[in-house]
Amino acid sequence: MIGVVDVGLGNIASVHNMFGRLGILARAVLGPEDIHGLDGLVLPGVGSFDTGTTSLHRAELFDPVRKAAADGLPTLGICLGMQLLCESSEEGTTEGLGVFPSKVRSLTHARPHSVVPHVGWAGITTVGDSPLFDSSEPERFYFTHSFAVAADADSTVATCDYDSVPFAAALREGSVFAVQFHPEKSHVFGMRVLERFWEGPCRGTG
Amino acid sequence: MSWNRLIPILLIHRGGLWKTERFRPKTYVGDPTNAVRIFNDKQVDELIVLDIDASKSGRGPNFDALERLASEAFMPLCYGGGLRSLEDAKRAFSCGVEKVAINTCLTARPALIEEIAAHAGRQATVVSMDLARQGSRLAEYSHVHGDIVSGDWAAQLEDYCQRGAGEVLVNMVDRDGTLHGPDFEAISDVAELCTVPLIAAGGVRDLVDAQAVTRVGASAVAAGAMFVYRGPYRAVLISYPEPQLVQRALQR
Repeated sequence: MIGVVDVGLGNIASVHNMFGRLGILARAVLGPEDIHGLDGLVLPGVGSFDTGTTSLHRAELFDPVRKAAADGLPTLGICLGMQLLCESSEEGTTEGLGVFPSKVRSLTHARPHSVVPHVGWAGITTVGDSPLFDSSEPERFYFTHSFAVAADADSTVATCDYDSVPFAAALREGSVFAVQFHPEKSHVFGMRVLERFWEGPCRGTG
Repeated sequence: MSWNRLIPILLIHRGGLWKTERFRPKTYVGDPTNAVRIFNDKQVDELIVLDIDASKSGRGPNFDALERLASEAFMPLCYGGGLRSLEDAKRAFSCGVEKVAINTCLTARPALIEEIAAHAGRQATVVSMDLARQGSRLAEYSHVHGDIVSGDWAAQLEDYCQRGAGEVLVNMVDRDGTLHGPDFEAISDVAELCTVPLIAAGGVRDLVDAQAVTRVGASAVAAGAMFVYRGPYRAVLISYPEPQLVQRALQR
């Protein structure tokens, strides 16, 4: 069973739809008690960084999610979820979950005149080991974000670039994974990422 | 590699999928959910669904229909039509859409843009603006009133960008459903003022048009007729170019 953190951070229905299509059982995680017994945890989200951390605190999920990830529960952060797993963000003032030792920066940090948000499809370049990607075939994913982790962060396993500035498309620390794009909205390419997350880290078969 | 998006617009009228011409329903295309499935198989970049009755009839969005449709969409989905409040927008998001489109001339409260952006982020907040030619000038058009609305569309556009619009969808009324080619001059004028990604629609016939639209400043190209008509007699057949062709034509 996969748990999908639902603290009102945007479009959770899409994530459930895709797991449903894959025949993978998923349930909503609304509070700390829902984490018990899961094989994997997905932290989706859109919105601002501080709204994200505040929503997690309000649902009393901030510490439980951090602890579950630290204890080795396979975890996948999506978009804002990826950023929430970092230490902090230029977008806000609150403290992130800190699983990844990175600070999230504005896409305009290196290039002030870039049009943000970055919205659209892009290919990625895998640079590290991740069971979520198959670098032997061209994969493309849907991005929509104004902030990102630097491409040279220690945990980076895939990069992408926007306006010629590279950023981290995916991070990994042990069994904690994060993607800046939306697998739940990336056709068969994203479906495979969610399927590999389940087949690999969650079921321990990959 | 990344590319600018090519986005089919699906228009909902009387519960079905229709193609309009100059904003008047003209051709019945089919069942909306079935169309979403087809576009899913064709791996479209994104879909925009607009309920063109929702505001006009005053009934608001049909959330049940939207939920059915969204459950088939494994691509980004934007919904517009009859959204009047943050509560409406929240319901649309919970149906499974990523973005909501708010039509500027129907919004009595521009603060709604700020409210939605604060709740769901800028990337989820699309402002839609319909423009028509009045001689050499451009003016805003209301599909509810079927007429030009007074006001300075350029100032409004800048205001909405500042208020938190993440994208702006501009539809050129005179070109809608005509397959006469885009109004490049108008798109260029809009792109000049638009500080966020611009989705331009109206008149696009093929990938050559789409590429030209991005060359004058649009970040994405939306179209209707291009994806539902086939051949000189405009037989209804839903199509979308091969993804590799889209990527090549619209590479950035």
